[in-house]
Amino acid sequence: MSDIGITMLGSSGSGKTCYMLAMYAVMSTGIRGFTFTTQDPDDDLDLADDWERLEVNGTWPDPTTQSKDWLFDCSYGFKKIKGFKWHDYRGGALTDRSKPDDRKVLLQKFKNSSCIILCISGEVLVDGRPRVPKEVRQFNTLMTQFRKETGKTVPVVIVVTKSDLCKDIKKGVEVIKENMLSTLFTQGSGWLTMICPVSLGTGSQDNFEVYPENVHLPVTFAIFHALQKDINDTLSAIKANKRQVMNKQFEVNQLGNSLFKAWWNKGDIADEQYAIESLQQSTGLKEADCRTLQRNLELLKNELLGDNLYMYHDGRRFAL
Amino acid sequence: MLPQFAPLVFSRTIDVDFRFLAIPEDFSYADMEWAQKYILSTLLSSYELEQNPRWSLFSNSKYHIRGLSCRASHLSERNTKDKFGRGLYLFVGYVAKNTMYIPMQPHVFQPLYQFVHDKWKDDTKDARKFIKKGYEIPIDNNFQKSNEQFKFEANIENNRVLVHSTRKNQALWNFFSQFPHPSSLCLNILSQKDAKEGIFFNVSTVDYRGENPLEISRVPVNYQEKSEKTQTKKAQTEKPMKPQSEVPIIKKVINRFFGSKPPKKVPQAENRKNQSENEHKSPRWGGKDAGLEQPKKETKKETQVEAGIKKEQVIDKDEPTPPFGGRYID
Repeated sequence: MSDIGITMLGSSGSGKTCYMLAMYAVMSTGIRGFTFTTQDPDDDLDLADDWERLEVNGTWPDPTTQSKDWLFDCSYGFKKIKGFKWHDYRGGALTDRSKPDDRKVLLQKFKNSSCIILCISGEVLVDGRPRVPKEVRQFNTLMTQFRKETGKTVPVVIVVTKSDLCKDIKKGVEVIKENMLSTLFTQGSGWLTMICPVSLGTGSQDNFEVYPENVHLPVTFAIFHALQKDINDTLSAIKANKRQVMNKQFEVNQLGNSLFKAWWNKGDIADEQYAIESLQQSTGLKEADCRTLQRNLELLKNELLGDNLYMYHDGRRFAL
Repeated sequence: MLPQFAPLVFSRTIDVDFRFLAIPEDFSYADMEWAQKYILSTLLSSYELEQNPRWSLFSNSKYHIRGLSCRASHLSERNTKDKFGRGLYLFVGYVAKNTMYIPMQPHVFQPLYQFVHDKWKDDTKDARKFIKKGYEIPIDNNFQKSNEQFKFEANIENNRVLVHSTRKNQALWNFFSQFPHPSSLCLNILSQKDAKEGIFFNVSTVDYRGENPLEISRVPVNYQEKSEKTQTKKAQTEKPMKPQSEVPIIKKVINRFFGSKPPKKVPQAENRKNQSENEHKSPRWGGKDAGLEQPKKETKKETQVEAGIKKEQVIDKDEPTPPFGGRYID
């Protein structure tokens, strides 16, 4: 099964880079047997260095000048479950007017993504009357365009970064649902959404204690959905194969339903039987793949269990 | 008369992201794109700019640019942090129509920070508009020109990068400042990896101490492509199904009278199947296994899951089922 694409975006200063660093720092050492590793060893060194500067020296990462793709593998017990391409979108790109192609490029990225991660800083959810960041408005416009052009939905994870700054997270979730991205939570819209508060730790910028929380969940959700889709596709292929086998079996029976016909059609019957055997072999392989996928899915599911996650489908909250 | 230059400034301000703040009056959109690629290359591994500001020099048939990429604090004492408290870094440069020599001294570039000050608090829709300036900034050329004169091989091929030691910075700067053809040089790049990722043809890197220039081939390693290639190779090793339509008629006739040999099984596929079946027999996660040929209970789970996905794709259904076999909780 091919790797998936995950596009992360958010306003400048919303904490995208920090979030990615924390996610990698936590997941490179692993949680309950799950690990994320970079496909390029040099990327691993870069991310580890940046994290060390943050954790040890308290140096926050610089603002980013350009978007970048990172290639990761999600593994269980060091055995690859799924690879993913993490597209880290430069903060200001959403509102950039100087490059007219930027939005087109971003929309194309959306189309190639299995999941979109939107970072919203917990700071903007603090007040009773929230300030909707310009980039969130832009995101709404882009999603409208995405739906119009593709007719599809794509799983969206809204990562609430700096969630320690938002005292009442339940209220924060409501603000996102009601005031910021209500379209994603409308009944009958078909969107699959997760709101995931994450935190790197607590304290002020100068005196910060690093203690990452929930940082692995958004990607787990994305991979979980991708595996589910793979299973669905594989099951469809198995069904199609089995239907073809049945049809061919019927043809074989028709070709050889008398002694003379069996002799006369001997060659065709052999060809059909060859095709049946090939199809059965292919079905066997697909069934084996499906079993592996289901096993991986069960493993990931454990990370997403419980009623404390904010997962929504079609505007309604659900739990696994 | 003092030589005159146009400014080229690429920076962010307190509230607005990176963009050009000042460009020469005759710069087109294509020229900005061209310059931006070089500028972004000078800003890789930005944290290292604190210790090692980068000097760059790049030219095409129209423009010659000399620039400095550094932390804002190197050029100014105020307006150096954004609203999140992050220290800023930027590119400031001078543009001319001909080759020129500008000394590698930060104070020469300091006046260009005025363009950052001017736009510092602008968060209106005009914040992203850049200022166009003519070739009107005079630079005093009564500086002590360094006597370090060496001859270097100027690399002008984009499939390789020549890496020098930072000890030769001044000599490289002098040599390339006078180099009349389109070329590019960036000094004090952090590592050979950054040099490879960037687009400069000639560089000096902090991590290279050799006497002679090191040649690095610039063939990008595309890991995604590599993994796709492996998958394609794997797929090719699996024996494809024999297409019925491609069986020649003469063979069909021979088959009809003399029969055809039964097809051989594909050994690799067989191994994979067996291996997978063995794995399936010994579940390693609490005895559960959601295999296809499992007892009723597991098969039920599968259909639920499948149904979940199907429902997910249907949008206007009255009673949607939660995905992944989950349950609604509100």
